[in-house]
Amino acid sequence: MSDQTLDLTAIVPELRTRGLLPADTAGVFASGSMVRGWGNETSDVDVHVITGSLRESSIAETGHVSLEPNVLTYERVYVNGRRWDIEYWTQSQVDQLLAKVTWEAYNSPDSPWSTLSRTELGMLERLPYAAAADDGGWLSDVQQRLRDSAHRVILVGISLRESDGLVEDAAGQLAAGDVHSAVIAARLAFNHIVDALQAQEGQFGSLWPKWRARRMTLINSKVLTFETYWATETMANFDSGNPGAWVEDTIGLCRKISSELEV
Amino acid sequence: MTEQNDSAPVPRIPLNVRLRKHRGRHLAIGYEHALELSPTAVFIWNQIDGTTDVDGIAQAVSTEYAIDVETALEDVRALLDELSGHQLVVWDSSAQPRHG
Repeated sequence: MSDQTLDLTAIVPELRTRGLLPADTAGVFASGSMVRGWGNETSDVDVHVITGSLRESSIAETGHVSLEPNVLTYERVYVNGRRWDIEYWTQSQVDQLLAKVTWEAYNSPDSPWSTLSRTELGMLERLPYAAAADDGGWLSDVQQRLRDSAHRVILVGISLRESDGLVEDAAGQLAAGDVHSAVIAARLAFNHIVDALQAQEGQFGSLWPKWRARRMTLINSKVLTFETYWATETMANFDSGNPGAWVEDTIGLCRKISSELEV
Repeated sequence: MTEQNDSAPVPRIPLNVRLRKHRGRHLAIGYEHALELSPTAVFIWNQIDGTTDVDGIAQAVSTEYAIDVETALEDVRALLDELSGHQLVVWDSSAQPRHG
């Protein structure tokens, strides 16, 4: 089966050999679990290619973004038994994306970041741990622009708002006696508040909840220890005879974490 | 304090109310109302746990800020009145009060 380490230097030659590296390529990088060292035998390799102009795709798959042009194109290949998902962005699309998370954008009453699509959010969450597959100049510049921007506080805020809404839902449902719905809402609220906490600590990944526990091990949070996180994530203290108590405890925990976050 | 009675209800933060740090300010945010809190008010807010009564909170404020308990009690009552007026705090008569 496939090697579970990723040879970054092999990516560009492989793309070039297969005709998947446009002449106007500005940057190539890998992201995802393989880069973070969390890969397993069936993990895909996520490759991103930044080009000057929109590349035609040979497969039907496209992604939609709130940018111009409003589509991303993809390729999918298998290299030594491992699937590579290759996503193409134009330089202009990346520039537009970064423009949505500048401090100026953050302070704007128009809230440009509110138009972030799921795919755009994914790119913003991937970029901080991306690994260059070329000389690294392009990625290094973009990562510096992110560090200088409101990227972190905006990503914290997005997860925080999701949690806030679900906490209100859970409280209302509990008050109305709809305990089952309140349990689900409280559980989801907790998921989002953990994402917000992790984002504040620089561990982004709300779109990849499967790695939440891994990320939790990478932050040293006084407000939420791993033990408390895991007990809540797994609903270890849930009493089916008194589900309301779990909802109240979980909302209380969300509130405690929330008060430690700054947006 | 109009909401309190002889059985000494304790202040409690409703489930849907939260404290938020927003651009250097602290805001207590409820379903309909939000109120900016001073650093002292944040300290008082953090003492509201649904079991500590007003006297207990005032004692904590007195200790934290080295002021007499009577003055602390006035400050705590004033803040709790304001918060409860905005439905950011409710009074719980069923709680077993703890005096700090």
